[in-house]
Amino acid sequence: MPSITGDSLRGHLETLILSVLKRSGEAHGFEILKRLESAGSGALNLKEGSLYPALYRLERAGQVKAEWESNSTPRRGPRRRIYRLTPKGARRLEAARNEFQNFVTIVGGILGTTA
Amino acid sequence: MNDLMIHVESIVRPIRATQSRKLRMRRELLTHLQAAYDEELARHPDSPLNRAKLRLGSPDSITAQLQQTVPLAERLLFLRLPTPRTYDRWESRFARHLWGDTLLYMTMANALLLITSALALPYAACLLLVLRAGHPSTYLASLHDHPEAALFYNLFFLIAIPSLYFSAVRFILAAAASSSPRRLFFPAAAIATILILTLLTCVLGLARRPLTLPDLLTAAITIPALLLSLFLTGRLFSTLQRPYQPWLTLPL
Repeated sequence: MPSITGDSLRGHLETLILSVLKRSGEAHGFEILKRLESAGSGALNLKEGSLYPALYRLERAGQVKAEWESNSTPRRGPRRRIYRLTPKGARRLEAARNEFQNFVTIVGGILGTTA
Repeated sequence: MNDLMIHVESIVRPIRATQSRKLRMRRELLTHLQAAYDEELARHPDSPLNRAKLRLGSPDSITAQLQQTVPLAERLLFLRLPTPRTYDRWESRFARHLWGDTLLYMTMANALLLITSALALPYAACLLLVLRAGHPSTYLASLHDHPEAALFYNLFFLIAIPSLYFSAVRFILAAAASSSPRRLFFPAAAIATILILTLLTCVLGLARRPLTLPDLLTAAITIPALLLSLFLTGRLFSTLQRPYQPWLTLPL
């Protein structure tokens, strides 16, 4: 399967993150990335550092909420920041899904592919 | 871990943002890089660090992307002039000096430099009086007749005395930031007390009256309160800054 690189993902990454959080619940950055890779069946070729700017944009927009994990977590290494979807994020995801569906229908129709 | 931290710091340090925002970025990126490193170590034990760095992406590109997530007001507030490198150097030097052994040396060197520079002022005043008033015995008396020379003397006191106080304040702040503050606080407090009493005597001298018991009592209450508040402020400042220290002292 040909891979989808950062350029093609630009503009969709935030929606993909919202979708991952909606499906599988709260997660930290690395876990979100793993879920994205798993959902994309290995075809997503994302530079991992791009994930955090996208998460910060979502947080500023109030679409995700983040909290540091508690000190009591039995795990070595620095603490992780856990992200969860907010109701505003869920509404944004729904709107983005509709927009994308519309886009695929129209562009797919022009290109002669099935949506 | 240190190599991972250096890579993260090379991404985050150039960002124009508050230290608390940058600390959060540092911690998140480090957690991520650590996890990527552990994965790569299991898969390719030969060069896990380079592989983990490659996975993260180009540092310049991530810096630029992270910069865009900082609110505009904050970006403007931390606008770097004249060049980003100058600010980076200042930031790391500040961190080293605040907690390093060099603080006291730097403080005393700065104060010495200021006082030495200030000594040029009474010298200039004397030179002016030699040229204008003639005989040395009339120098001080002739200050009244030569206000331009008196101005040099006044400037000397304006620079030299605050310089001494500046060094005392830095001394107290050094004690506050130290891991063993008690050892440094008492000598610092003693020096500061002598300086404050000297200033008080000078002020009373100008007011043409001797030092009285109420003056001493007021000083006895005010000076420790002043020193303690300064020390506590320094302690608070140092505690607030401590999480950034391991990052800012990393060599890039």
